[in-house]
Amino acid sequence: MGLATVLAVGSAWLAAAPSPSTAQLGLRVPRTTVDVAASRVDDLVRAHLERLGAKPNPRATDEVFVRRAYLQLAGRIPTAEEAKSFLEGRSPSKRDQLVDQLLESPSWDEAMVSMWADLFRVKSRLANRLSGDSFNLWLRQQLYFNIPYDEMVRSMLTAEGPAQQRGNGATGLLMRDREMPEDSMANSMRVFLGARLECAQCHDHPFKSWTQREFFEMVAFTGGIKYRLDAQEIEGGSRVDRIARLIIDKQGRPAARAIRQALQSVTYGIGGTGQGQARLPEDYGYEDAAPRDWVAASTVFGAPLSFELQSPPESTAGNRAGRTLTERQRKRQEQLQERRARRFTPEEADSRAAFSDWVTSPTNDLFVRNLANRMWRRFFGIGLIEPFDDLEPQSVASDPALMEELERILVNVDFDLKEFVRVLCSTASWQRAPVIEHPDLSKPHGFPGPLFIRMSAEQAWDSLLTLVIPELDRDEPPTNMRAERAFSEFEQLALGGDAEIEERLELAVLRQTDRNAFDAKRSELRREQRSERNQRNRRISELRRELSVAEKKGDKREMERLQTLLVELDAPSPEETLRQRRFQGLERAADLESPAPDGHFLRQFGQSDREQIDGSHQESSVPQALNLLNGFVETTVLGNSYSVLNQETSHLRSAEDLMDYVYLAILSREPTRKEKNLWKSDFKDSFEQAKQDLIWTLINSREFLFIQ
Amino acid sequence: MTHVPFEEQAMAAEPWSRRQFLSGLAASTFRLSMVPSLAGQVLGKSTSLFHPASARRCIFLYMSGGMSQIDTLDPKPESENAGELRALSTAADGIQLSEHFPYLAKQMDKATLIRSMTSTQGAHEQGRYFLHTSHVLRGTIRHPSLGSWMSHLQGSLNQTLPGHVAVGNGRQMASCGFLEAVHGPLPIGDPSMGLANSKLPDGVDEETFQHRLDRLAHMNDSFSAEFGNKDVRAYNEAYESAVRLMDSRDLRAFAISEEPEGVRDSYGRNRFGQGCLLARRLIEHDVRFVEVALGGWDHHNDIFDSLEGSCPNLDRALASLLADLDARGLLEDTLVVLATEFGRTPRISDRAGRDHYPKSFSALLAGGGIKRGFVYGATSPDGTELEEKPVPVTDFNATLGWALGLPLEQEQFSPSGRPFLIADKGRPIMELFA
Repeated sequence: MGLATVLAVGSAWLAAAPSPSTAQLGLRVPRTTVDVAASRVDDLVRAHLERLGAKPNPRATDEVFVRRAYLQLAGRIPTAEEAKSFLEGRSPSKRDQLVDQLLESPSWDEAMVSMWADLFRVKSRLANRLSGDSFNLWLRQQLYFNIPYDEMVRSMLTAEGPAQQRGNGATGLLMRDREMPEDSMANSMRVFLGARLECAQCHDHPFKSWTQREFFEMVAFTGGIKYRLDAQEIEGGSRVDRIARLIIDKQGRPAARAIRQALQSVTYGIGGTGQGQARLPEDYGYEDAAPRDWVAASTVFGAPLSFELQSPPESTAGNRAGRTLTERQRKRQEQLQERRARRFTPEEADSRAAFSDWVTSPTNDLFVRNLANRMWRRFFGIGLIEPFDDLEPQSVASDPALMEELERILVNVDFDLKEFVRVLCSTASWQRAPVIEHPDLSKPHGFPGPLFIRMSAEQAWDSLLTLVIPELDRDEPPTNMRAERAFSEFEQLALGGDAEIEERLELAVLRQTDRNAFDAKRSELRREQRSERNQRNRRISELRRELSVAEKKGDKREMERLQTLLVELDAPSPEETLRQRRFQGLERAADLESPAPDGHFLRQFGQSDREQIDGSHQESSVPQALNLLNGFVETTVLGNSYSVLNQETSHLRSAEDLMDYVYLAILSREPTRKEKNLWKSDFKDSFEQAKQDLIWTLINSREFLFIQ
Repeated sequence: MTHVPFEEQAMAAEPWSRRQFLSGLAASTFRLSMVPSLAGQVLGKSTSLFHPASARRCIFLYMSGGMSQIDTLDPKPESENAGELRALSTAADGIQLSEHFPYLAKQMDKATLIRSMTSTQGAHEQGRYFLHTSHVLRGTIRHPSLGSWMSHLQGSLNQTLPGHVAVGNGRQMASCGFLEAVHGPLPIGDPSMGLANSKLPDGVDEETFQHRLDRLAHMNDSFSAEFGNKDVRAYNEAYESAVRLMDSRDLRAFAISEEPEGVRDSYGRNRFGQGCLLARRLIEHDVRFVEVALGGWDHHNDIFDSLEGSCPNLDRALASLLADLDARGLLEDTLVVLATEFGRTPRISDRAGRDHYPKSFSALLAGGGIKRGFVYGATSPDGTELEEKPVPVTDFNATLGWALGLPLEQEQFSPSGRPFLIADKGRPIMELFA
């Protein structure tokens, strides 16, 4: 395929692109177009391997493929039924069909979110009155609705408003490094462009051409950014402020502090559109400027983008009459001018928006390259450029032609992540047998197939849940209980009735001034809440009982009436209640607190602590082995009679059937003849014991934990 | 795998990293065989790269929230800032502790007090991070804490047990930072629960377990034959170690239930007390670094009531730990540290509390070559001014690093090639060593 064809394909895609603000749940690029792009990638991969004197791996078996596809696109292993239905499929295009099916399934965000949460260091708890869960929820919604990546990034970089107000989750990225605008800029450059500027934060970059001054010129794009909002900047804020002042007037200074703290859940947020200038640090030591000098925003590489330095207003009280001033008067004039300059606050200049446009421009090579390289790495195990998070404008990929092609595809699909992944997973290259030995990254490397790797912590956890909880996948947009709590805290304080606001603030004051009275008041409130909850629960079970009676009678009208009442009470479905009771604490990784608490399975298996960018790992450890040997499998899979494996095997009476099912459910394949023979005698001795031993063994096997 | 081993990455980046790799090699090979005479010369001057460690292991008791110095280790009975609190004489001549520490008072002849700690960080998270890493909290990097440096640079003393353990609930204080995960602490929430999943679950007997292991070996053998790369082999080894640990006598290190009732009582029947007891058992089994955290020191309100809850637990646990380690001869080469992120205002606030005071606070060191019955530094009679021999947090950590034989002057590199010193620019305080 020549260049002209590629461009033609490209423009066809551009024409098909939706307006960027349209949410895209489904796939929109025709299959044939995807196939053309995929085969172009395959040609390049093959040509590069040839140049290296290497051969592509053989095509992976269906068993390997179905497992790999589910793990990478749904975040978990396939169930026995899912594996079976794929393996029995006869269509020659069944692999592409599976890829399309999984990309359109609602679990996509659960499969992908940990990659982004690791990159953006998403944490549930940022400070005492600042939750990071609204960011977490926002991120999952972006993935679920398949918002184009560049739009996602622009939302984060230009976010404004209270962090805990519903719909403002995009503030999370900047709130993560609150009060540290320099670190925040260094992190943005790293995660979005792969560029490591952080050294230049304190001194000229030792290996690269970036100077400290250039670094602060980048910081200047976010100049004047605020992480606490004033009352007037918040919806309903002035009213809260007025009520707060009344209380402080009445109760005095100790109340002020308590109220300030209580209001943090409202005032935390991002303010300022960017002043386009910032000050050099106190200890700036280079010749080209003095410490604390203003510098104007200017990009350090890529397309030039600069702001003008705003100057402090000239003194108006100056030398109006043109009189000659005495030395003393002149000095005084200078001092005044200096003070004015010191106090000078530049105007907001929308420099954050300009910066975000610069970052996300399709002509910003590093933006496109960084994303293409990261996505390739996510699916093939190794980037075309390694280390993948230290790019420079002049970085050369191991296969420059392939890199260029991937960048082109990414721009052509208009940063639609699903469509890009669809191309990657439709390549013959991704559908090959895995590369077992990790290549030497100091030499040019090719891609004979995807890398053989251990499951991520999230994949391992969600895969185990697949063996426990029936119908694990959600079929609706993501929700987050902790984020809801944060929103409602904001709403009660900022948008509640006057009396309600007053009550809450007075309670906060009481907490500081009279601990005993506060404790008493709090337990009273809790009692009330508990009794309300109990009342509601009683009412729900009552309605459910009546419902089942009506169902037996076949009384449609009564059923409808009762169902409406249940909906009004926001009652969970009976299935949901049952599920909570049977599988308490077992939620998919994406739904759990971020990061999971210390010692949790996810953390044991290398979930990022969300402190460092890309902080997850796939290293082995003794606690992991102990957990699988003596913990999770026994208590949660075998020990729970409702687990999928127990339920689905309870009616199987022959060793043959049982082995077929268990192998399929856990390893997505049939047992080999040898394996059947090995276990046969065990099943003769004691069927039940052999079944448990088999399940335990397969889950503990290396084959389970690694992705081929 | 996501993490290219640290050394490999370091070697890939020229030219600092190569130098670092070579000197790192030298450090691990030569540390223990250092000739004492050379160390003697070095001690006379300031510090140098290599010196013999005076401690091989460390118990780090972290008082989370900011422990008030004036109510604990630096009492000012003459000042109105003391409130009602009196001071106690101790087993060490001329050293007084607050009246909340009758047990520790009897052990004061084994320890050194630093009454002139000072920090630049006045908020909890920042202060906690600074104390644990000697570096200011930044958004772009995570530094390793002392225990992780020890694990990374000195390896494990005991091949079956982890080299670094953190006891106590709450958010993790110690972290491997940019080092490999294996150097991070093994978290133990409840010390009386032992090491999680180290025993066969109910209903699985030894025979069943052996049979399962046998079947598992079968599966893994054929799998490894085809897929046996470095990562798979690492898992095979982790499983072997896990099974070995289940059988090992070292596992008993976690079983504080084996201690006589009287001993368990003496440490205090609370999480922190039992955590200190667990720390002693782990140290006995050659775990290098154990951190035990005690929270609840953030007394902005009603400090005097609250201290009656916090202090007795610390008093009993620390006193028993010092006495116990000493009686077992473990204090010789075990460094015991009591530290907090910052102190609290000597003046009592209008809410009968004390606020954050990074300007001056106190710490305690014992064992591992530290002087016995000694006080370093002093604050003014009303506790508000740091009058003598300030000890910045970095100097404090350099002192710990010196005792533990860590190479303080040798540049360490993050995976991206940024150079760091373990205690930043801190210098060890040689006057604290016997």
